[in-house]
Amino acid sequence: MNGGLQHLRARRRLGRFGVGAALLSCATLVATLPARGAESLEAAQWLQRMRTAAADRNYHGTMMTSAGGVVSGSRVSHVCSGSDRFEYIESLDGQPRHQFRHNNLVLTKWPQAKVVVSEQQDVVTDFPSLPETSTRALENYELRAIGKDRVAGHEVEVLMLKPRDDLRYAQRLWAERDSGLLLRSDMLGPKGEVLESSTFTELTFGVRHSAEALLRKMKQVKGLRVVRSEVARTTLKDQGWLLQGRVPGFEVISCVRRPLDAVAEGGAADTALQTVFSDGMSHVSLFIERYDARRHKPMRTALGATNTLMNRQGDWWITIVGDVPMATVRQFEALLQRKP
Amino acid sequence: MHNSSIPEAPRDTTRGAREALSALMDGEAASHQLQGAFDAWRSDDQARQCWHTYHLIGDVLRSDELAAVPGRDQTFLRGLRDRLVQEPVPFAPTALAAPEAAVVSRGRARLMAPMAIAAGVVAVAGVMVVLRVSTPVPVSLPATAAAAAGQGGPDVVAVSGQLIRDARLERYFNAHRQVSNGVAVHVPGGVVRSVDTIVLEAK
Repeated sequence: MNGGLQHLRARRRLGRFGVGAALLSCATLVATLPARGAESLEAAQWLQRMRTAAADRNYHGTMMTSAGGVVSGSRVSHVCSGSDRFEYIESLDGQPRHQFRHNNLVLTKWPQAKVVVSEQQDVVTDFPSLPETSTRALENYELRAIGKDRVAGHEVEVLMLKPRDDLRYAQRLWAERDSGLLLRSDMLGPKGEVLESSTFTELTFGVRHSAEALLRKMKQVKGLRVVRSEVARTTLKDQGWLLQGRVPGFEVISCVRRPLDAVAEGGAADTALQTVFSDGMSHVSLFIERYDARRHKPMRTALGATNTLMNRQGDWWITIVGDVPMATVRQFEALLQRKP
Repeated sequence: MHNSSIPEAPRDTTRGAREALSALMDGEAASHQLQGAFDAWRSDDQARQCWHTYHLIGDVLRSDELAAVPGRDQTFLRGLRDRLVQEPVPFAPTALAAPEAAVVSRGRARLMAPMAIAAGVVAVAGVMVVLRVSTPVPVSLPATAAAAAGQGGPDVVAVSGQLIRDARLERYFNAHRQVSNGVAVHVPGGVVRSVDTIVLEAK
């Protein structure tokens, strides 16, 4: 009898709780419905995690990239030792290439050409991660989580960056759930077709190479010609150029005069002005050189998500390379003007 | 092995109707047979069953792998319809399929397993097509072709589908990757991406 009463009470209490829960969930529903802000805050946090995940972690793995029907692989190692960062990337297909990085210093060894190119880089981001400028990404892309998945044996969160206009491609990102490390990314065309895809096929956290071993390997340049790639900072305006108007979403992130082919003999004399534009996720490089009728033939190419346009403008030779649709590349071309 | 799953053609359907269906299937039906065959197909369940069986026989004759339990097509179609209803605006259909399938409740998941496999096959086929198409024809062709038509675009050196090796182009690619190093999510220091083969766009 008593037990029955208690049971009844318990049920009533439960009932009230149920109503309360329903009210609560209604309230949260109402609160979340218009609040795109809350969701994009979380999205922004994912972006932040992806930007910084690689910095403090030791890992090694194998990565495959496919673009325009061409597949290539690389072996990647990342080592942290105190405040020092080491990276070693070895190409597995095509011409052998070993790229070492110790903080800002990047050494690229080309065993076949017996050349090693050394370069100081201003901005270095640990691989793999999002660009520094991706803090602006949400201005041009809508980010949403589309589910969970597994990549290279790791649990990942899948995110979609959908462009807000048709000047850029969509990107799909797979971030490791605990660290936020970017394990896979796809570039998607306007119909959702995959233009380009990079993914770790295997990735292990922890140390394989010690920092010392990597450094030793990096310093082995016996028998190789050392070429220093000198990069001089400048601006489009100083070089006598201007963009009449801007391509929506894109901002200049660097402008340098640099040798184009450091590997070639006497390549240093052959410099070009390179201006890089970014919309937070995608990049466009604009190269300007003196026109040379013997070497320069107008053309347009498409490889995976990379579109390239080469054309003559008076005495100048313009090359635009971008991870954007050709229409966007053409906008850059149309806006570029020699200052009178 | 498959024979057990193939039903006999139902006998109640009149011989004439069956012959008409058979002729229709072979594309040999005379005009006076057509209307009768259509009527039978529409009104008579058994005629439809018959029609399906004939197709199944044809399929099995062509290849063992095509043999399937009757009703599979209907299940497939029903599943497809169900899925289509649930599908959000398909921005990237291939991507959405996997996570969403995972969310579906268990019983449902079992029901839809063949469906998911079929979707997987479609997705793979899609990728294959994209790859094969994108090799000879740049994916961005429509946009660029339109742009080229609009204004006098630069001349293109090679014909469509021709693969070339262009060291000069590679220099620009490398420079682009280097400055946007780490930038390109995809490519570590511009190393992974091979630019040995470049597809030149058709004029």
